[in-house]
Amino acid sequence: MSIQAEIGMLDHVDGSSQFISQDTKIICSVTGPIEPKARQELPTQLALEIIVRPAKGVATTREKVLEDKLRAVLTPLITRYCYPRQLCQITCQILESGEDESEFSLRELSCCINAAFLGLVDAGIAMNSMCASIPIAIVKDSNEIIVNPTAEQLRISLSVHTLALEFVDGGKVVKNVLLLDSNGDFSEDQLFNLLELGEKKCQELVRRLREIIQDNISPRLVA
Amino acid sequence: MAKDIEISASESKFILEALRQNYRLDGRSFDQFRDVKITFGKEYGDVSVEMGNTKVHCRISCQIAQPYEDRPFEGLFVISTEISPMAGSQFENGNITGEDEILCSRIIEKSVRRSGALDVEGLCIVAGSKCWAVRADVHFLDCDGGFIDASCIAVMTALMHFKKPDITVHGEQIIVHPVNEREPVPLGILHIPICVTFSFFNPQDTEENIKGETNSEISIIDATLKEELLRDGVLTVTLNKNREVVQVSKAGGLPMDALTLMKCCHEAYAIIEKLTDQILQLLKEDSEKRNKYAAMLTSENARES
Repeated sequence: MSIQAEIGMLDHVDGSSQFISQDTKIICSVTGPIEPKARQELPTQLALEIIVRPAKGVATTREKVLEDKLRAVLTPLITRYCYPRQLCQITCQILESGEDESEFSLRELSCCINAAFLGLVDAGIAMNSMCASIPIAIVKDSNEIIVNPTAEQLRISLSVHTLALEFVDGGKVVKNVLLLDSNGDFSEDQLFNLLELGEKKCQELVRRLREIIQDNISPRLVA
Repeated sequence: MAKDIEISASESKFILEALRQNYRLDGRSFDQFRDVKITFGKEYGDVSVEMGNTKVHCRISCQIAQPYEDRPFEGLFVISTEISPMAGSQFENGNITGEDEILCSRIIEKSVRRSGALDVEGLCIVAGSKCWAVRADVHFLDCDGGFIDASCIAVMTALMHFKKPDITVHGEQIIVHPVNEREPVPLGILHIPICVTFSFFNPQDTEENIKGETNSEISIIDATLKEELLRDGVLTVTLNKNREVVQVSKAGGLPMDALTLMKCCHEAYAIIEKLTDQILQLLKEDSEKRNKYAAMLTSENARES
């Protein structure tokens, strides 16, 4: 899957990233660790404030669900005990959704996850592991599993899935499934097949993400 | 917690002293507007504007809605300017009660919506029951001053770039033609208002802030964030290419006389003239790029002009 990503384009936040995959374009900013509001503060851990903003219109329950899923993925990635009584603000702004917003949100979700991960790296927040996320669809008639489907392929899909995996050891070993969010009509066999295929594709993506990080970080290091 | 940015005493002294000696931190002259970089997205009505480090994105969308009862012949037009913490940690999410946020949204509202830049009567489909509701969502991505100027350019460019789907009306029934079926139609734009913001600094003691007798204030165009934090007064004028003053906003601050205001308007006109030409040129280039074969397929004869 071909993606484009950029790190550190925004100046007034600690970390930022832009992630483009097909027609989906997300920009993400990370600020932290900063002082939290009293109600956000956690006595032993870093608190996360996650905001997802839609390209068109005001944020609705749809964005709240996206925020919730994003939180579930990011929480285990961050070494939260390093920053007790602190806050990290993660803002994802969807610039182009690349799918029919009234029916789907998987492309936006998986791009938000990848963008937030790159943003956290750029902000220098301590992390336990890496992650990569891909959208998957099973299309009508052929029952073919399509990774990173287009808006057109989504329209003829039977089921849609978002997969996020956690990687350790330089992106070689899959440690955990962070998110498997499925919607639609599918069998157990199909699910196992798509997990198998998804693992390979996530591994490719995580390699690509490592390259992007390396390209962006190495010029900043002083030899 | 949304904490205001604080600027150190030594830095503020340095910037003010530099201004007194006719220098700005970014090397611009006092009456120089930052270069405006405008880029279009894949879809119609998707525009990003960059002015130095300030980045603003605007997205236009439309849907069919019911018009207001007291205005049956007019469509709806809403501009949403909500600032998220992405622009800087001094902004709070969902908090639109901050002074900057309100001022920004009010001036944009006044300059674009209430000045009648968009022809809302052209959005009417069936009087009293159906009309287009056009929405402009302004996303502030990075804040280095000049939010008002940048978002005004972004909204106007996006409105001119946007095209709504074509429709056919059969009595009460309407058919909306998808974009791939029929060429979408652009919105009716009546004039192009553009904002220019002046910031004023008082080079003397604080007494001058109240009396304002000597008129020796330093006036700079298009302040950056640091200059915005230190300024003593601010003036935003909105003009269009027809030499009409759309609005003038000066909410308190350093007193100034009428002649200075006139001078500012003249300076602003030179800037907006250049910006309008730049926007129109970019829009033309973009439409040519999107419609490569139009010139080849047209049945229009070559005419002598």
